[in-house]
Amino acid sequence: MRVRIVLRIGSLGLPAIVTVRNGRGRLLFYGRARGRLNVLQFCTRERFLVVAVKPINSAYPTSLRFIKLSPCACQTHYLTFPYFEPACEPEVEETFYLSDERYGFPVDSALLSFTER
Amino acid sequence: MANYNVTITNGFGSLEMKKGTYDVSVTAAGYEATTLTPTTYTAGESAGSGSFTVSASGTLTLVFNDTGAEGGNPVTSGSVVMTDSTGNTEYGTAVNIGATGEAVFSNVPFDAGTPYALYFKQKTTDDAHNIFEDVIQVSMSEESHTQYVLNSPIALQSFTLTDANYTGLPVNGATITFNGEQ
Repeated sequence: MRVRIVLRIGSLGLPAIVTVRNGRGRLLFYGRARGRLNVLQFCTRERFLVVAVKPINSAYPTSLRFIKLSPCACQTHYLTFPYFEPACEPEVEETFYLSDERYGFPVDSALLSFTER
Repeated sequence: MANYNVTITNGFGSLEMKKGTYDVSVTAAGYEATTLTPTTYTAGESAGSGSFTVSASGTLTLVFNDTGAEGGNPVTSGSVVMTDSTGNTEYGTAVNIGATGEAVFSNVPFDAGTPYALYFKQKTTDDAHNIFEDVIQVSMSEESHTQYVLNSPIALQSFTLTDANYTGLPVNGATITFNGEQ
């Protein structure tokens, strides 16, 4: 019996890759979610599903969910992934210049070490 | 707690960092790590930049004379400035050449392992010598280093002035004026 799977994915406006595999790892569905709430759907006869939602920029962790549908599952099954929670602070590009104090010329080669307080 | 190492090449480096306040230290061949300024950096939520300076403790003495080696007659005045390898970009202020032909540059970097290459350009010399026109390259491998620079002595030039219509007739009493170097 085919079951319609409806994925409702909140991704805080970040694009995310959605993959669904069966218990043997075979890819059943591949899609891209974008926007605060994105709905993706597909049909399958599989009863064991592994759903992965991975933000493209890896700023947030991948959400993994293992689903086992009962034989009497209704024809449409809804799965909701809430908004991602940040796994860590997003990093931004910092640029550094190192010059000779007395003469002002750029230092050929150096290593700057930063230790968070 | 996040820690980062940023490689600086030719005075520049960049890295993605989390926002926060960091203590900063430096490892730079030829320089004193304790002279890094500033020693803290705050990264915000958007891209930022930081400028740091570091100081060295080497001393370079450039000696300008008419042999380019120990023992020549010294230049008695003039000036010289640190530059890049092309001689077109100057760093710091020019240093005067003293009566003994010496121009002393303090706080220059040096490294025994990989000698630090420094470049200089002579800007002026005294009336008795010709300026060294090329870029002066110095390899600093020890804390104190002396390098000699040739300023050849000016040479005697002889002139004749004769009448254009009567070949060989010397002109009595004339002054020839030479204006500026070309």
